[in-house]
Amino acid sequence: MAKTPEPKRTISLKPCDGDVIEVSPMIAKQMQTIQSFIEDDSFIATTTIIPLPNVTAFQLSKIIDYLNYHSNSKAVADNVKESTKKFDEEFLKELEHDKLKELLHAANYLNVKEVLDFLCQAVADLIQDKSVKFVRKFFGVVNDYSVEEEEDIRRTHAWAFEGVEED
Amino acid sequence: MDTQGDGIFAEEVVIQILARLPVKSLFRSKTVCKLWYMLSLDNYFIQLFNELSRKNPMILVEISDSLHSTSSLICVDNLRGVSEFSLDFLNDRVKVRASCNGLLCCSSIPDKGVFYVCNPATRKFRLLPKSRERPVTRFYPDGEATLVGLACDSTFQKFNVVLAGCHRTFGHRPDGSFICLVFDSELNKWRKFISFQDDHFTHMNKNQVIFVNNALHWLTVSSTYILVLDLSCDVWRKKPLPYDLIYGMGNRIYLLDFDGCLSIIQISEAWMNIWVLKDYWMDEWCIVDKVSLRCIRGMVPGIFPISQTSEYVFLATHKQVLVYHRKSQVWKEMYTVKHSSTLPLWFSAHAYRSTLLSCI
Repeated sequence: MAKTPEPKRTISLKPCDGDVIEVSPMIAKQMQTIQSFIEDDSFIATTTIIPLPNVTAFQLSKIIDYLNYHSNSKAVADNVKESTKKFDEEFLKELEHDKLKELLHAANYLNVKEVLDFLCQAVADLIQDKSVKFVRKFFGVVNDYSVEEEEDIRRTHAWAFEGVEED
Repeated sequence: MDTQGDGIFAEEVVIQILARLPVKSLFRSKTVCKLWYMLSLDNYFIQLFNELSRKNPMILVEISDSLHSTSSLICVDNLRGVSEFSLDFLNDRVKVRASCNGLLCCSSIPDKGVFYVCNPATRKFRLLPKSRERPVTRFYPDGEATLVGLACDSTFQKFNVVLAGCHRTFGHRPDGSFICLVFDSELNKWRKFISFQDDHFTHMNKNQVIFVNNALHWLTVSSTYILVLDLSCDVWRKKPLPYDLIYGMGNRIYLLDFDGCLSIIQISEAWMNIWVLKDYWMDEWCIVDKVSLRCIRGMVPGIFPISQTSEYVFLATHKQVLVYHRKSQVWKEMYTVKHSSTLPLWFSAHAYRSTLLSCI
C-alpha cells in the first residue's frame, strides 16, 4: 500500500462529461471506489487521473459539495444541527426526481456511504406516502403479480392501505 | 447497469431505501413486485431495518381523560411528530406494561392475569398462556405482579416475559419470598423460581425496566444498586451504581437505555447528569453529559426522563412531552395534553421504536 500523507496533495477525478475535478484526499477517501484506486500500487497521485465513466460533472460536484459541507460542520462547533438541516433541504430541493435517481446511482457507483445513506433516506421520505403505482414508475419496476395475487396481499395487509390516497 | 423489469436500482440500493420507510409504507411496498415482497422478508433486511430504527426513538404515552374515564395512546416520534397509536388489533382493553425493541407486553384490564406480547408496527400479537400457578397463589399486595419485564433480542427471534413480586399463599401473610415467573416464547411455557429478597419499587422504578446483556434491570426504592435478573441462569444479582453518584438531597435518579448500554440519569435542581455503563462486566461507569436545566427551571421538579439515544433525551412532565437535543443543546416541546387528565403523562410513558421483530 502506498501511503504518503502529504497534506497539499489532491486527487484528480475525470467525470464522463467535463473537466478534471481536484479533490482533497480526505474527500476522496470517503469514496470507496476511488479509495481502491489510490491503494493500488501503480497509483501516482501527481500524475494519475482517475476516469469516472459512470459519473457526470454535475453529480460529482454535488457529492463533493455534500461531503465538504458535512465534514466541515463536523469539525466546527456542535451547534450546527439546524443549519445542517437547512443545507440538506436545499441540497434536495435542487434535485428533480430524475436527477435524484441519477445522483443515487453515482453515489452507489462511487460507494460513498454518507451520501448513499442520505439519498436513500430522501427517496424513502419521497415515496412513503405515495401510491404503489407511483413507486413502480419511480423505480422502473414492472408489476409481476397477477390481479388475484396482488389483491390477496392487499387484503392480508389491509390496514397498511387505510387512509392512503390512490392515484 | 441493469434496467430490465427489476428496476433501475441495484438490489442493495432498494434494500437500503426500503429499510428507511415507516412500517406502514413498507407493508404497502410489498405489493410493488414479487422481488420487493421477498426482500422485505429477508433476514438481512429485517436486521438492517431494526438497526436503523435505533436512530428514530419514539415514546408511547397513555393519555387518560378523567371526565369520560377513557384513555388512549399517543406516539411521540422525533422525526414525524405526534400521532395516535392504536392497540385495537388486540380486541381487548389493555395496559402497556413493558416495552423492548419494538415489542410491547400488555396486560388485559378486564381479565387479570391475561398478557399479550405484540408488535404494534406489524399488528401481530401473541396471547400468552395462563401460568398454572395463578388461581391458588397470589402476588402481594393485590394479586398483581410487582415487576413486569419484557426481554427480546433482535438477533434471536424470541422473547421472555418476566412477572415477579412478593408472594403470599392464599390466606397467609407474605413470607419474604420473591417469586419470579419467566415465559419462554420458544417453549411457549412459564418457568418459576423463588428467591428471598426484600426489594421495593416506586412507580417509575417499575416502568423503567431495561434489557441489556440478556438480563433485565430495575432500580429499587433505596437507589443504592441496580437489581439484575440474569435470564441465562435465572439468578437475581445486584449491580453497583456510579461511584460518584449523589442520591437524595433533592437528587432523583432514573434507569434508561443508551444505545444498548445501561444508563443512569440524575436530576438535581440545576443539572441533569447522564452516566453510561461503558463496560458491563467491569462495572465501569462514565459520565457522558452534564446538562444545565436553567432553560426549563420552573419545570424541573416535575420532569421525568423516559427514553434517550446518544442524540436525544425524551422527558415527560404532568402535561407535556419534551425532547432535548444534546448536540445543539436545544429543548423542544413535542406535545401538550389539552384537557385536564387525571394521571401525569410520565405515569405511563414508555420508550419505543418501530421494528419488524416478530412476536409469534
